[in-house]
Amino acid sequence: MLKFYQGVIFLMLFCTVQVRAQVSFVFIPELHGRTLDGLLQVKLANTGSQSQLVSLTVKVSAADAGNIVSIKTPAFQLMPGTNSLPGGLIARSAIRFAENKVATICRQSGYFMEGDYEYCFELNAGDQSHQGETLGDQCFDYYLQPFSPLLLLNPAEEDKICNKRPPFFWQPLLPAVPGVQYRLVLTEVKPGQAKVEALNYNMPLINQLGINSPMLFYPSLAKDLMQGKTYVWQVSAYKNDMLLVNSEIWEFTVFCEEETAAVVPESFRDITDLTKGNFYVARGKVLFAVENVYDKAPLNYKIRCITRPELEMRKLPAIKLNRGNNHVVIPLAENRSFVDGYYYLLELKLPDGEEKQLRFLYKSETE
Amino acid sequence: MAKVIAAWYTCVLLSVTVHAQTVKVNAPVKQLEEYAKKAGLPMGNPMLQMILADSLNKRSAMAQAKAYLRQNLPAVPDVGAGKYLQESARQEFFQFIGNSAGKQQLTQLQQGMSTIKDTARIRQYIADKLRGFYALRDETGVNKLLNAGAYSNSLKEASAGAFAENTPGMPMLGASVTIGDQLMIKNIPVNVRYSNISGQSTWNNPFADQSLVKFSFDKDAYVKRLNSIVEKKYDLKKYFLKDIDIKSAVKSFTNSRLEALQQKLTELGEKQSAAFGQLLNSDHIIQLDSLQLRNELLNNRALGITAEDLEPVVAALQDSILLAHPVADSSLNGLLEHFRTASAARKYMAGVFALKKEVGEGLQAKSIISDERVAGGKINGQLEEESNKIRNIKELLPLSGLQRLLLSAKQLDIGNIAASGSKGGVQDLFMSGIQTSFLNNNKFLMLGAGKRIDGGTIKDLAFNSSLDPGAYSMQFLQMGAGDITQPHSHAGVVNANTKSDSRRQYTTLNLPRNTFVGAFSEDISLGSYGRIAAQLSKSNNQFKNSAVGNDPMLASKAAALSLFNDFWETLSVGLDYNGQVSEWNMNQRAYVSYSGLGYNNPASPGAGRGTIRYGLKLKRNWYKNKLVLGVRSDFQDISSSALTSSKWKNRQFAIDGRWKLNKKIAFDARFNQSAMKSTGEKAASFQYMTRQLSLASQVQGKMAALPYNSNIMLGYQQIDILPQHSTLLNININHNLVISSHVLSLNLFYNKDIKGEAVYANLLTVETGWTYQVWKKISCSSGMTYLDNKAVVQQLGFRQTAGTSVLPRLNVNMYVDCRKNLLNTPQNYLFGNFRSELAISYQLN
Repeated sequence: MLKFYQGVIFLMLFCTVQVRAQVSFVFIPELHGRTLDGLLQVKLANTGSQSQLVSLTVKVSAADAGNIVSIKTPAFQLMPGTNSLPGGLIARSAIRFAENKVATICRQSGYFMEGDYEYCFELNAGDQSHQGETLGDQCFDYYLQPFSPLLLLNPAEEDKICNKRPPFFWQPLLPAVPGVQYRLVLTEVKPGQAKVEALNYNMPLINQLGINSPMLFYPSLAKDLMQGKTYVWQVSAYKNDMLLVNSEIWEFTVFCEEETAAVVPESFRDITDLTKGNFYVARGKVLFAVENVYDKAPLNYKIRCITRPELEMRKLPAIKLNRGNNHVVIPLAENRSFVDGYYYLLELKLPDGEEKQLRFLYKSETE
Repeated sequence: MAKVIAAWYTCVLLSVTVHAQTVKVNAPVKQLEEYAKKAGLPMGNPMLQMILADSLNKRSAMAQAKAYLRQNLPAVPDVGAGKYLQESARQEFFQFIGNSAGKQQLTQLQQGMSTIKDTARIRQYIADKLRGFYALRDETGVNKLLNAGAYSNSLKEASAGAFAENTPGMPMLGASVTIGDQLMIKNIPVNVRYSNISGQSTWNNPFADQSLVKFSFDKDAYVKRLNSIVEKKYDLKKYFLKDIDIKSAVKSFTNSRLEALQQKLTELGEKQSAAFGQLLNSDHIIQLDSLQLRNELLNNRALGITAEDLEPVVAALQDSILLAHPVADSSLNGLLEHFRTASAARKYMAGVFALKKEVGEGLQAKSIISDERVAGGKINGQLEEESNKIRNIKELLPLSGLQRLLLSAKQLDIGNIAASGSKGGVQDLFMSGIQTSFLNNNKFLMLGAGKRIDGGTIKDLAFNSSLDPGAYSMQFLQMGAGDITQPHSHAGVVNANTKSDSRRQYTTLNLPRNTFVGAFSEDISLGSYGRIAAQLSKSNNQFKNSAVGNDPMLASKAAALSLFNDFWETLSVGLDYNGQVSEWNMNQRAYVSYSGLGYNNPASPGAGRGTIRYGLKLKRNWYKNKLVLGVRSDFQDISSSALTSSKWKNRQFAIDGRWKLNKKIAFDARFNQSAMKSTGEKAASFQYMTRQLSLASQVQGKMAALPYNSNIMLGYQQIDILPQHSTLLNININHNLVISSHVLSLNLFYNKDIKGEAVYANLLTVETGWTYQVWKKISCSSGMTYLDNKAVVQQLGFRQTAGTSVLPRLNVNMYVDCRKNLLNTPQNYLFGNFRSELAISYQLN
């Protein structure tokens, strides 16, 4: 706030041109000169000690296009000190646009395009006795280049990331205006919520102002983001207490593939029962239970492909049987010899010499 | 007057468009309707009516003693199925109409019978109601069922949280309360979401709070509730006549009709009567075609009918002879007997053919009723189960106008809501107001009105004003054929007026203006290859008390009146293709859009101006998702001048890949480049450029028999923000080791600014954590933290979390991070040294 007033004083001291009478104009073209509405954010500094009835005329012209627009307010009371234009006054102002392309764009969008502009303010007496008398006029020149949009970069829109403390990157607001800073808001999106609703309804997890560079490493004090949750983020560029540009609202989901989450308990049926059924669907692995009354021993087994007998089974994992009841898992998902939809025959020779055969259909696990 | 003309203009524009589109999109629906017309009303078929009436008569006969039969009820008219009902069944049927549709309809029906005598409508009405009566399961008055639980309230979710922290540029204190509730008002479920956020900031010292509330009609819960009543009261299997043993019912119907035909043949001798009795049975009628039936007659020796006897000329001659000889004539006895038999055979066959037609139509009608869902699904392609439920509810439950209307509603939101329609119209708009949409017979209508104020929310307490007007009152409409989420053809309008308003410290002072936007959107399905959406949108802006050029009159026109002014400057068009090629495991998106420099759509805050934008996204996976590659590009040319070719040119390009070696090891690589260049009269110059390469690995394994998972990220980034050129190198290691039921975690992040241009100074953070349980109920984590931002701040601290379930659904979580500043400088604008959080949540679902 202090910086703002310093700026105001600076402008009052050095930017005033052709000042007459006791009224000067406080106007920051690089901010207020960008929009039609911004023109009426001019502040009138009345150094006189009495209030009087006045009306304000604002004229904007561009070097390469001529007159663009003029706005005339109805009469209003100018008080001693710094005056802002009253809201009701703005609503009753008369606007006259010129007939050229720059004026057309301004009339349609409310924004001034690139150009070398002159903003002239003229304050006239509004009372009957001094009707039309100029109390002060002042012009400001500024080469205006419209702001570029504020574009987000990373995390990308609708991306899935595994980093629970991600850094945020966006493009800077251009052209660079001294004193522009960024504000980043990050909030969780609850199921069923629209992005813009989440941004307003939910408590922000990050609402960081005062960012000078177009990037922010995840704040050190903040809690980690959570697996499986979706978040939205938006960046705003501002100067002092004026919001300049908002970015789009992007969302991303924190998702790390964790094996532990995918484990689904499955049953182990006795191998004798399985072989009796003579049909088994192996989803990525073969599971069975077997009783071993002997000492620890490796499981003697081999697998043949029935659908394509010439297919060689390579790198079958070694399985060890303990004494007692064993839950055997033969993982097949990583083995390229197993093809989704093919039939296979598992031949086992148990430690007691008994031989078993199990025909199974291989189905790959859903990724 | 201006508003009236604007409204008329809009309506004409819309009706022309919608009509044109409706004809195209509704073609399949029309086919269904025409088919139904050809087939006749399903329940208008006498065979079905009789079958149903027989069943109802039997049911009624078994329950003759019911008390309500004593009531003096009006008689069911002898039309349609009514004529087959016996008295007791008729009385019950009337009672059912009174109970289910209300006494008022009963009275209307009585009036219809006695005064208007509109038998066609009454026949249709009775046919519709008869199926409901046939399917009646629970005789409890439907109102009683509807009233049970019609008003109720259930709390779905409640949570509260609070935090305190001292990071510069962040709020100091904050608290939030969220309540999710469901109100049932006259069987209409309304979800209520209330949120209150309060807090205090360094930039806004007074304690401030903000309450937002949203009421949204819960369509799913509504259909579910009404459907449960339908299923309680009616056996839907019977309603769709699935239960009828059509084979035996048709046989019995056909036999009785054949008997009736035979009884009409009175003038025949015994021998001929017996022959007709044995000539045809129900199987003949069902199985044989008309030629075969005719042959059956001709081949019957007892009757002795020849093909000539059935010729119209011969038939006329025979009939005239029979008329000339009404009494027996001995000389002509044999001949007259043959003529009588032939005449009877002709009448008999005419009746048989009519019966054959009735049976055929009856079977067809039954299949229409039974398979309506299936047939509808085939024709419409997109008909979901819910639409069948809605149809049953509409047909079987007595609903008020509002309840009936809400069955066609897709959405009804009131309060602080997010409104969205198709691109070019309303999009990502947050407003205070109402938005509702309806879908009926594939026709879509969305309406909304509200007030948009962008600033003044609690998160924006730091801002007092905005460059963008951002405060409007607006009304919008979108309508057309097809659901908005499905392929559709819609037209929409937005009318907005700026507001000079203030909320808290935030003030918007705008020159008053009226903006009107007309938009069309067409979403076309490309089958399995995806969809393509096209949008065209045109805006027009009119300032109040404004004039152009030397026009002496200041006017305040409605923007809709001159919508086509400044056409190219205020036009926005776009094409967006989204699709996939499943054979290649690939999905893709391509888009291109243009918007004029003067384009202005207050209902779509993110809409660009003066921009040509195009881009492409491709993502493909191989080996069952083991290898995934994605490419993304986005190009924007943003005009900045109305007179010259000055532009901001933005080019973004990104490529990312993921290789999942096995279940335990995966690698990621990403590269993206983004550049903003200004072009124009001066030489083009880069204003901003960044290139970022990051490599990451995720590993799960065992370390000394202890399971662990480890994520490592390496990043290299070049950032040029003129005049600064910076290169950042960063590493992020996250390692978790599982020890028994505990987890030891280490998180290290280091960023080095190689060129020392201070875009972001060197930063090191190290965090450790140890998770454990206290009293088997409280899950805790404790850890140390260290932070060093070179020459700016250096901190050493402690972090503690604790969480527990006080009750099965009530969770409490606490978080504290406090640090000691070993070094602190005035340049520290991002790092505080204390944050604490407390969160309490009660979740019903």
